[in-house]
Amino acid sequence: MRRAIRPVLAALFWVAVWQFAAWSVHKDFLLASPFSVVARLGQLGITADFWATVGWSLGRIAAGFIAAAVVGALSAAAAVRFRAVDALLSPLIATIRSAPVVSFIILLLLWTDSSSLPMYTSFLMVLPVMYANVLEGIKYRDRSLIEAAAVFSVPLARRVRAIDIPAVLPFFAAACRIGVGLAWKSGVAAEVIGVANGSIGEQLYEAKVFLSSVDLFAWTVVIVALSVVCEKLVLRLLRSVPGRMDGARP
Amino acid sequence: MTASPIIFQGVTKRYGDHPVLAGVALILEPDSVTALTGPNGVGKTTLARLLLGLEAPDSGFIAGVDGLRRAAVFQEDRLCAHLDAVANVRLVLDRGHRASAEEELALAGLGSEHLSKPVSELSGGQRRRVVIARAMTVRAPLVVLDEPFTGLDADTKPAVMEYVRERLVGSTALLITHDPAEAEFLGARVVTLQYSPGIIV
Repeated sequence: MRRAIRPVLAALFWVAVWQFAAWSVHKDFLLASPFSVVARLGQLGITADFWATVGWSLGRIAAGFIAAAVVGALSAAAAVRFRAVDALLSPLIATIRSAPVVSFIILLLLWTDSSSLPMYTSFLMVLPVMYANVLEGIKYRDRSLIEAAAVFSVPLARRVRAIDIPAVLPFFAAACRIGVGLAWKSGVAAEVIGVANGSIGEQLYEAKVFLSSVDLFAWTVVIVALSVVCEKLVLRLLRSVPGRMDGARP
Repeated sequence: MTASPIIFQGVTKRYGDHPVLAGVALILEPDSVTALTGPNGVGKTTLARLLLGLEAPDSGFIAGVDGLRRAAVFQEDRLCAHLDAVANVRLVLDRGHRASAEEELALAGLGSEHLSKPVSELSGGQRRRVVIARAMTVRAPLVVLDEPFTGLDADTKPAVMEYVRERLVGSTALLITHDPAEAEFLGARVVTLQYSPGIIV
């Protein structure tokens, strides 16, 4: 019970600090209070525009994340199977991983319109994490099970379902946990820089233009909430996978 | 049925600087059990791995194994821990019928109440029965049994050994064991791998 209350108490403490700071500054455009942010969220939540904006960003960022998960996992599998693929992809992934996100955003803006920018940006930011983790997972598979499957001539698809996927899943889940947050951070950053029409990033940009810290905080709370909900959803989905695993399903 | 014998001729194997097998010559008679005994570390498991195609000899050859379906009871269980006993057996079945997997597990002495549990929740002896049922269910012409009855309790071991003896009819089998009684029960011809690196004596 005590352990359960602890994070709530910690959150309340920081909200109190925020409230105290807002009182001290006493200028809503510089630092909005938690109460005014909650009130603003209440106003936003009942408008259709708010949900349209959330849907716009969610769709594109989720598409980028899912594409990165699929491409990252398949590339890692190909890299383990074919050394040439590993040799080709390793420097590319290392470059994407270490390059600043704004460089990609600006480059992508030259090539594409701002409406698809968040999708490509979140894809590029999540891809190296997925690739590296899945690669690690594949390398840590139980060799003795792979050998047993070879002796019994277990078909590849069946082996992948029964042995490979359960072994890689914890690594994939860890990548998803990191990747969801990264997708939202980079995707929204791309929306702000590209001033993507109808996006959450556009709302943040307008908050800056109109010096509205209450809108800035309100939309930031929305982004954090969306990121947390997406992470929980993805992890719940992945947790259900081993239960449905049956490598020998006819 | 395996029509021809499996012949090891001048087989050598080394791991780095460490020689394990030195010119092994051995014949596994078709449709019979050959028991391989010898002290620990002499290369018995290495010889089994060569027979299963998991390793290649450094020199010499193994004739008569090409195209043969293989099955094995490894020293370790090598089961998918998250799958239940039936799914582990079905994994190696050609057509994956649940009924035949359950039948085989029952014959190996695994109670029906244990069939649907993840194998990680089974006792060591129960897991061993799953491992044996998995190897026997495929009716492979070539079977390797590396200390297959280790971990079975004295009460259930005779029934499991009887089940294995019945299932090995028509297969060429290599049994690795330290127990002469196991070899005798399965009607095996006993050969001994001796010295280090190992040779057949």
